[in-house]
Amino acid sequence: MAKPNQTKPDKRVLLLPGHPVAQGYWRGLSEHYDLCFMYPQAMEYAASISLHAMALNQFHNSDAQESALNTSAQIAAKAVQSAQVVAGRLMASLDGSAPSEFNSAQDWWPGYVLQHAQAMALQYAMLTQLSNVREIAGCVVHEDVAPDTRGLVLWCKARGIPTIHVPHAACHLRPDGGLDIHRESRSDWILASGSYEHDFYVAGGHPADRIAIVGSPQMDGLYAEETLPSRAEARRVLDIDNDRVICYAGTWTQTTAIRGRGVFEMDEGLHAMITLAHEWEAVLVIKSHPNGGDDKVFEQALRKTNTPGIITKHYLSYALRAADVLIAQGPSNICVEAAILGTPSAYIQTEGFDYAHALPFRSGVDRLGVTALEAMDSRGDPAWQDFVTFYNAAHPDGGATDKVTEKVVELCQ
Amino acid sequence: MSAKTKAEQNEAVYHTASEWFIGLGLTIDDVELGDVMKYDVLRVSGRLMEREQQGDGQTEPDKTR
Repeated sequence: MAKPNQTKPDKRVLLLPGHPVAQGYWRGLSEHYDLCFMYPQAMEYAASISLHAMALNQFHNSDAQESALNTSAQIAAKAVQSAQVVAGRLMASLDGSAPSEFNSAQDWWPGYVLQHAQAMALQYAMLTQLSNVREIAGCVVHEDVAPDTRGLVLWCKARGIPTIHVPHAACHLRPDGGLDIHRESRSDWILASGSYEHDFYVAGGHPADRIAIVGSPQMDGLYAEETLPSRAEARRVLDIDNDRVICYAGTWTQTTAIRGRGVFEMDEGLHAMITLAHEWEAVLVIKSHPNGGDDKVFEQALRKTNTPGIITKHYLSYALRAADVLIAQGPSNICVEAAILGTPSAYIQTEGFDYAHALPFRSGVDRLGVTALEAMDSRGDPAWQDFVTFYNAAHPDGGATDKVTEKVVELCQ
Repeated sequence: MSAKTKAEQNEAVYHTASEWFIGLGLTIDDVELGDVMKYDVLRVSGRLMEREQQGDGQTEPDKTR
């Protein structure tokens, strides 16, 4: 394992998780800071694009290991005592509808807590080792809800280190969509993609004067027209020789809230899309979600119904440019990406979520054919430009990446 | 069958994950472990609740990407 660089560094350290969705602003930030990634594979990826960076696990040594083991053992002992308290509170509030596993929480709860405590204690021990030898300027996260990123943010905040959240995607929870962790941010600052995201986090309780609108850096690549395919090229590369092409964007299950009908909705949506493809005699390009989803299910459904189609997790610009219309399973951000590329969209609605703009078109599966047609006929409507700007203030030129860098440097003085 | 609506169940689980760890002494380096675990507690609880009521279904398709 490589040794931490302890040779008179001239830059301060900036902490980042290292998720590829944020890679667009790594290079700009690296001109001001030594980047240190929480995910070790990010360091290797950065090296492959000629970026020098560190990984937090370079600071894993015997002292960090011992500290983490001792701390997590103490936490586990407390968890044994707290198991019945936490489970009892949940069962009482659920009025008898709590999962049966909560009746035996003392059997599994301490182990569950121990697993989290070990990960958190080790992360903190390595951060402490890093902070002993280098000055940490700040941390920039693409989300701060998952345990590792929230843990990073909270550790920094407890030490007065500036924390900045650059949301990797807008969350389309309706105001009446109930309590949800995605309304929260723990970071000192949010760099929002547009007016929508600004208002979303203000409604969630984040101070408005701690939110700056910079645009959506992860969408900057969609403005590099010289690198993007035309519709004809996209269809040629995807080997589509058909007048009508529908792109269907899949989704994935997250289970951080109790709403909707989950996989049942997805099955319904897929079935409706296949029906529509046959009615329109169209090719169905299924752009599955980059975070998951089961491509095998898509493949089996297309084969079983003899539906001409393509399934891909990648080639976003090709899938969208080839399509006459995009239909998303739920109000996915792919609708914004499609609009940037000139492709109109609609989405299949689900409980608790919607775009906060009149566009895209939307409905349940029952009237999807009409909705899809309305969306397809809206190609070129100037209202799509207003829609994109609402969600990405950098539209129509891009350039959010540079604004992120400028703002981070300003906030991490 | 539950007397609570799905929204009420969601609220109860959310408050458990949000608030009920506080005061249990589960902190590391001045950070509440419960706040760090919250996302995962919601995922596990939501999954268990759904399985209890609907067999092996899964809740909440994600709306961000």
